[in-house]
Amino acid sequence: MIAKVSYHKGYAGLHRVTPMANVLLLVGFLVAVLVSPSILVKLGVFLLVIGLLVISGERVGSFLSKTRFVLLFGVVLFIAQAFSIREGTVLLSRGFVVTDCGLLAGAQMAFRFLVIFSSSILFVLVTDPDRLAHSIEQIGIPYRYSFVLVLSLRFVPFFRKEYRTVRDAQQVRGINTSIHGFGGLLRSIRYTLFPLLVSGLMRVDSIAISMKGRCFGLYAKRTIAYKEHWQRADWAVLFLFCLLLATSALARKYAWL
Amino acid sequence: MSCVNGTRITVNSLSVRYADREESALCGVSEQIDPGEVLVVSGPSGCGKSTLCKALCKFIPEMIPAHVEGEILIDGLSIRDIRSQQIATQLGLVQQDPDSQICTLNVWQEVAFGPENLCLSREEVSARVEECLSTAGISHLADRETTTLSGGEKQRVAIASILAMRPSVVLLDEPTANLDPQGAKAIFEIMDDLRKKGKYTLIVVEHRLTPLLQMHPRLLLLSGGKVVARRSSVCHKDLEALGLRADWDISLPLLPRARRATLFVDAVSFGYEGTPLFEDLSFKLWPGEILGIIGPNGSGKTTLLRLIAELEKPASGRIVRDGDPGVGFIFQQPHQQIFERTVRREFEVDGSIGRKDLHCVLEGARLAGLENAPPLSLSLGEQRRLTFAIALSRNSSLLLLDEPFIGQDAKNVSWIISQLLAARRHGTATLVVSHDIPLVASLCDRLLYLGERTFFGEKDEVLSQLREAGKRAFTPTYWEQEQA
Amino acid sequence: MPDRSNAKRSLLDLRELVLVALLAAVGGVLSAYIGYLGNLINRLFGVPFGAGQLIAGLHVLWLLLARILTRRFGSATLTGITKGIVELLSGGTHGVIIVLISFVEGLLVDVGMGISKRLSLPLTMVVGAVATASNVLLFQAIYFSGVSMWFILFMVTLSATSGAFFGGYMSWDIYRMLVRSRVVSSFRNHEIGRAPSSPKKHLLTLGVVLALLVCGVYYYTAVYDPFAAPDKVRIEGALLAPYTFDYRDWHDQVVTVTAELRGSSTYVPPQEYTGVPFSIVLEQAKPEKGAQLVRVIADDGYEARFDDLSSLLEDQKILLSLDKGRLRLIAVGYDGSYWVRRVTRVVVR
Repeated sequence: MIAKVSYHKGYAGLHRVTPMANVLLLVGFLVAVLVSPSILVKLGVFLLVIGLLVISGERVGSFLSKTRFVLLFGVVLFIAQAFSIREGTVLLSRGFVVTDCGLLAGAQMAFRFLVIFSSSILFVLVTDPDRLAHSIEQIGIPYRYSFVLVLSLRFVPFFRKEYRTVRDAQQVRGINTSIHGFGGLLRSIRYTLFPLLVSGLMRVDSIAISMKGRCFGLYAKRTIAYKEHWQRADWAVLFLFCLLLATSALARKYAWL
Repeated sequence: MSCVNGTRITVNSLSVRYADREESALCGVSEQIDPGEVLVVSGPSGCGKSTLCKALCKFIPEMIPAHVEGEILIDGLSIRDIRSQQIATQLGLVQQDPDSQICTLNVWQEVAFGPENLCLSREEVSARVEECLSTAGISHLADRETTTLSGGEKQRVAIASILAMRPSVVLLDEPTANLDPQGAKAIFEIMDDLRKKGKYTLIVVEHRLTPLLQMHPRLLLLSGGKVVARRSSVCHKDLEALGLRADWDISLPLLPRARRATLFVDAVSFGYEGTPLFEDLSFKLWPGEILGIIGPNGSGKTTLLRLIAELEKPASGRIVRDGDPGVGFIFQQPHQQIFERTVRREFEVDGSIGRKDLHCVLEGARLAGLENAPPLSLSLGEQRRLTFAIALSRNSSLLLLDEPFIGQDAKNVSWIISQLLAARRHGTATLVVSHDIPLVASLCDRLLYLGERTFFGEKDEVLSQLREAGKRAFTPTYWEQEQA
Repeated sequence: MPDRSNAKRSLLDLRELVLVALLAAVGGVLSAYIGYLGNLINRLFGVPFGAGQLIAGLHVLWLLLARILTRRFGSATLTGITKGIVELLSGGTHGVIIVLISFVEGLLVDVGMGISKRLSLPLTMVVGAVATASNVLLFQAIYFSGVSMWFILFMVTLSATSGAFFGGYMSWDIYRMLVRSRVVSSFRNHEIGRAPSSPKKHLLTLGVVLALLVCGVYYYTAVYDPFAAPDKVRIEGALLAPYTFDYRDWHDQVVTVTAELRGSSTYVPPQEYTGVPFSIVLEQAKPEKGAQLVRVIADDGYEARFDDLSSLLEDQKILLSLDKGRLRLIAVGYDGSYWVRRVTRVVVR
């Protein structure tokens, strides 16, 4: 099981850029690994992500130890691809066939997965969810809809606590929380989902009243008291984004390895 | 102090019936509320107090479907054709549960939320936020995440965020019901400050009236949706005359001396993420004894119950329970421990129960005939009785109750007390965590105060220690005697 | 106070937006619990991953509930996106891909539930199945493009079944319970309709739906190949050097022939065709000794079978030609049915 990671305050590297610049960088990483067929580009992007982790003051050792499960999944992806692709020069034939194309495709997929995962983790570690949610409002999405994310994030800790209480309540009543067979699984799911859902639904009216009572939705626009300002570090991230796009386009055009 | 330029509210024959109910929540209520006055609305659960508040702000019927008759006038203008958001700059509502009214992740943003929606300039938004944070005494919390606040702090944020709308009428719907005594005391003090400023009309729904008397309020008493009493000024004696002072005169017969303690908490230490909650905590609980656990939010009261129920392990020390390993645990909110689709199935979650036995248990819990009803369709009081009946049906030697009285009316509280006293007679030991200090002081054999310091012992002894330590909000005197 | 507001009427009203936010938050929080259940199931089956698809429908449950409770198009999509972002920011194992997956699931729920105005259990189950199955296909497109079609088919069937039950049936059941308990009585139009008293009544419907789904998925995974590159052909089967034929790499081998097409219903008079001789294409893959059958397969599943590999290897007139950006077999001397358009695979046996 992977240990959960979450944002924490920091002042180095990507911590200093606006949330939208971090979103842009994440998109850049995604494009680079999905568009470019090159393994070298993927390897380069992976190293870049690790480099950015270091620059942003994150500990790579702790990152790797937290992602052991994910690295294992990368290996599984590699094996799945290597054994299922039969094109190319046959390298090994022992009831199963391993070809050079299979190995290459396996490496491609494993790196694709690693980059997507590690860049997502980098994004989570350096992006303040609160600022991110408010930034969405600033890029022109109607505030009624962008505010759904703010509200949702606001209630995540609340429901985490509620979840623990419900699991406690099950344990106290002697309800076995481990699973034995389909019936047990179903019971565990129902007994966990339903109380939490009810807890959420019970609050809809008072939250809506609290928002409406403070004129939410009265006007088509609202003031944004705290605005994110684009700074030098953000321009650097934008440059990196363009570099990622250009590299992946070139890698595709000239079929780099 | 009078408020010359405030808002006058006139209610004429107001009746409200919710769309999914047959009986009316309010029947022909008429009232005039003048600028600058303090009106306290009281009455038993379900008497229509909250409905009146929501109707005044037009959330009923605009958001909660209901059939409304009669008229509400704000400064002589009917609100029939006005949207609730347009009333919000005149009337602001603070609700009961602080967790269900904060909608952003940061205190500053929460208070800025209303002014931002009013499209004010950034400078104006900032000015209002600073002013209101200061009024609510929480300027030091401006940069805090809302999820890290205590209940009392959250409620103060809610008040500040309503004040930022610059309303002339502030409605507070049981604002202290979910708070610890210290948090509740702070809210009463803010209300008094607001009154003294003279800019606001206050409409307060509250059942703990003694701390409000210093504000010289007018009293409106509702029952069954009707006004049953009005007092233009109210004092301590009036509360007694109207039956509004909960007088829990509970006699606890002496317990027979037992040879073995039901529970032995032996030098237990525990904390979260390096912050200790309690260190070397030791006490014994004897069969039949009722121990009240009091203290501010976050002092570890619920954690102690979780440790005893073996939901957590102590960092050091040990907890020894005598007798059967099971405990009866009542959680703060009934829905947190309701899992099944019918009352009968709910009883069968942890073992089967015979038809006759079920009938007896339900009869005792005043839930007869509801075997096949969905538990969540029951009223909050019925749900509480159901969870109680289930916990008691396990015949455990130890009962753990976490805030069992929140949201319960006097009738239900009396029922819970009778059950606890019956369990006491049968030798069941009980731990009750509660913020209702007068009730706990009356119901319990001994008290445990968890806070910066720990006090444990006979209740009179602990209460006098608390008085000496300046923790007046944790003594019954604060809640029962008129303030100087 | 004068009404200066100019807020337009919105897709979802405030209570519905709050509902969406809360469902996304609960769904996001419980995804960790669902992941934990998935791991337990994996352990039960003794596999490192995959068996968790048995409960994949639980991820779609929240989206279905949002759609059912609000009855508004867009509510499931908004719940999906928000839930995805919440999961991403909570450090979930799927990373940013979860946002895409949740978004697609939400969109499918919105579109699917929009088919009928009347809420019904069969529709909810079908929509749950389709939306849940989409996660397997997206994962396949991103990470597993080369794995066995049978494996994908199996996973899709598993997740669709889970979606029908844990997504569709369970959301319906929970909804019914919420209405009966009056927890959602104040939301829009919550008549339960003719709620089925027992799921058995719908076993037949469920069976038909699953059968259709299995057939559809079989066609998609094993036959139809929408992601095939338009100018590439996979050469596979009993070969020593299977490979992917890329027309752009074979410019120097291109020849031109003149031929007429005689089909049962079509006739194309003699004209010139330019392309790479099919014999060279086959030779490059080094067919094993004893191989005889050659199947030329199009992206829609159509195929032509040639029984004699050796004659194909000698025939210099049969070409793989580029026709409107897609590859076409110019089977000179063969019946029109052998002139396969949109060729994507050649299998030698």
